[in-house]
Amino acid sequence: MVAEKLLVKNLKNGQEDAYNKIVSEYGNRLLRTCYLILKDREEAEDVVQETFIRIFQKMDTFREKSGLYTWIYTIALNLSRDRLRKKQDTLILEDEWVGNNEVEYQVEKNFDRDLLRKELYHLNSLYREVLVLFYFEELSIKEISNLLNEKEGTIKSKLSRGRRILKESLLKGGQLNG
Amino acid sequence: MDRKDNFDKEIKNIMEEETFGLTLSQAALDNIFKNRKKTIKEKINNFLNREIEIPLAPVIVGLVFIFVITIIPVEAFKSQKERIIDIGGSQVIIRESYEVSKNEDKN
Repeated sequence: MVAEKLLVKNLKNGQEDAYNKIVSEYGNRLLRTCYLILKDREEAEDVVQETFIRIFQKMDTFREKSGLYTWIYTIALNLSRDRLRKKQDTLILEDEWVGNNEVEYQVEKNFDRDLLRKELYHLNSLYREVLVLFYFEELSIKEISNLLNEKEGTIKSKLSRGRRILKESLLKGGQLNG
Repeated sequence: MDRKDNFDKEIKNIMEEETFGLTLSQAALDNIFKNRKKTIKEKINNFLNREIEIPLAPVIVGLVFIFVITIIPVEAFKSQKERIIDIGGSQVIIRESYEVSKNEDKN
């Protein structure tokens, strides 16, 4: 926490080392997260560039109410969402979805790994975003809720539904309908 | 929800594999750093090191003008229409008549 405060202070003072540090610390990780969400390397790289440029430009306005990590990821996720919106790769979330335990059980016992890899990319971005943050970034429901500015219940629902869609798809041999 | 089973672990593994070795390109890094906030020292250096275009003709004219007013003695432009003659302890200044008369009018 102290290190982060110092980093923010140095960034505000325009110190070159601080810029190198923030990019080396978050750059590649952010690129991977954006890549998993956007499914496109170039777009992910564009988002990361834009994120850092915005951070550099708006550093003076950062009031440190949230952590630096949260701020960076919020900007990156909003930019990713904008791009997905342009591609119309979104879906309106329906009511809380209650799954079938039988599906869970069958898939957990045996599933095709390659098919899961393929289906992950076909999953609607609405769910993929939450899955990436939960599994890849290993964030808690609360942290994801803060990042996406959504209720914890909504995040839980998206996560649960995303997993269920994947599992059902695996059972059907890869006919994703999420 | 926080308990992760094999399926969950596999999702994470696939995500890790899919992004393994994915790093920002040098062009992206250059673009990022190009936009960073500059220190005052860097701003001054950038100002001093910036490229500027100077049109040649006005510069030559300007330099010639500066040369003319600084290097060439003022006397070179004066016509030799004034003479000073020393007579004993006195000096007699002889100017052209119209100049004298012009000064006399002022007095």
